[in-house]
Amino acid sequence: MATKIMLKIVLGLMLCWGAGLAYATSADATSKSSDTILILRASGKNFAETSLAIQDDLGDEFKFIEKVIKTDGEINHVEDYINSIKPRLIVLIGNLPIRIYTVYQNQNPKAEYPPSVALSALYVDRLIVAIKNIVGIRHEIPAVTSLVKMRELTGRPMEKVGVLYRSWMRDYIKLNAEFCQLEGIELVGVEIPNTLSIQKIKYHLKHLLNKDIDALWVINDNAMLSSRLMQNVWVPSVKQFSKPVIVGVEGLTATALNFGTFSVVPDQYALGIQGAGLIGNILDDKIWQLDQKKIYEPLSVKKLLNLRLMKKHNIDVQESMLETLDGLIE
Amino acid sequence: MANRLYVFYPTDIRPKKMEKHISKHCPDIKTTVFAKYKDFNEQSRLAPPDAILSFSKVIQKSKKFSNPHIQGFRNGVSQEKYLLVSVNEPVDMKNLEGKQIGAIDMFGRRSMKEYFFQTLGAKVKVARVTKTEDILNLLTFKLASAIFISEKKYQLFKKKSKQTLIATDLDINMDLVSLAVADENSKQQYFECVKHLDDQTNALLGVDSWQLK
Repeated sequence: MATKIMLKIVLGLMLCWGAGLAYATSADATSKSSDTILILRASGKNFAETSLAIQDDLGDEFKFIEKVIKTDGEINHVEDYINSIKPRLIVLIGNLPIRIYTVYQNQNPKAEYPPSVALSALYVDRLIVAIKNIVGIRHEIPAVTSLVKMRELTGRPMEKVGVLYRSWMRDYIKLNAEFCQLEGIELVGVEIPNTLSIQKIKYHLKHLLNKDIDALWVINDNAMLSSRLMQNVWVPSVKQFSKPVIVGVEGLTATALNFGTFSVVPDQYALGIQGAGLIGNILDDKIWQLDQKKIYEPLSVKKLLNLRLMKKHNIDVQESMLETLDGLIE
Repeated sequence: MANRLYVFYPTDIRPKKMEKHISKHCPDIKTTVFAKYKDFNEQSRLAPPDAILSFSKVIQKSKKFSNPHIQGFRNGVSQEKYLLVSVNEPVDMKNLEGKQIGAIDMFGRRSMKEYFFQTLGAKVKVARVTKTEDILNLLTFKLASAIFISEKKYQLFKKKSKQTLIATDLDINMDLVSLAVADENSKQQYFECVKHLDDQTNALLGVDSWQLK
């Protein structure tokens, strides 16, 4: 049962963020307008929700043309859209459209690129390195957001929180440690090599859990959360850990898995509204050349608590806070 | 057909839960709670409500409604003070132009900009959030120079956050949550409804009693 759930979770992660693309049109590609915004989004419910929010919020002010990218190799279509629509701004939602747009820019080095905004992509700062004139909103929920919410739920101090991460995430962990510090939380990070082995993770995780930490923050990393590692390392290692385990994927809080106590994931619609704010500011101020590749943190989340696991570990929850949750496993 | 009450008043709990709270005490009224102004506005256009529970400024902007008929009170007063809250240093009120100000989205993007231009006398950029719990994140992640919140919220944030939150007084008072009816004859029915809300629901709405206007 637990293995099946783990497989589902890993597949879910891969499907959400993975590749594969064809294209579909949802509006007239030949339309032209000086204030047309082109949305290139990946296929899927979450991406559609983010796109909808942007259009809901700005639809009265700007014209939108949305294209759904479903399979790889649609670079020619993207090029056609851009050439025919001549968008004032491009919104890229999901990893796939961002990758394709990177290829487009590489193939058209002399073209003028309108400002673009990248959303709903994992580790977006790494993805947009080669793209010119772009800003983005990170998809990963900062540790401080999740930890402050857990602190409010339990009413207990949250002073030291452990996290295991691979070397390539060092900068991201450093940034998170700075945010956590603002709220009086020390992020106790243990760095492991990018190349994973069961033995190494097991050793370092055991070491981390033995430190005097108030919670474990499990970072979204497909490789570290593979079903093999979940089954052989993560789940057995946290069995005796009687503090909150905070995760970034809802499925990891499933009771049968006996792992995450609290999941905090992006609120896709609110992410779109946040993106709309960015887009609105760019267009209001006519900032056609963005001077820096700024990455913003996401503001809004959805929270799911596994109350059963919390009770099992004798972690009390403030009754009045339960209504602030989006989901509760009792 | 039951009278229709639309509620647009962002709180810390989810709309469906708020709907349940209100409906429990007002069984003869069909209550719909909206999380977003846009949805509230759109639905009000498609299926106009018989009453609105919201900020008085939102009520005044709604067609068919002008002024509230029922007013929420807290500690005997019907208004609360609003502040600009920043981290470590107070807001330089002479230097607000172009600054990013965080706020709960009360009326949509354009109207929020206009509201702050009228209120603060400066063209600011508005970073809007739809959930009250998200507004402090604007300061944590330096996405706003200050946030526009009630004094009550400020006191609450000071308790729950370890950041040094500094309030800048604006001399702005806004009505607490209010209720307006389309047909004056029905105001007693709605008054009976809100009068019977329990302490928890009232607290979520930031009031402790109600009065007819």
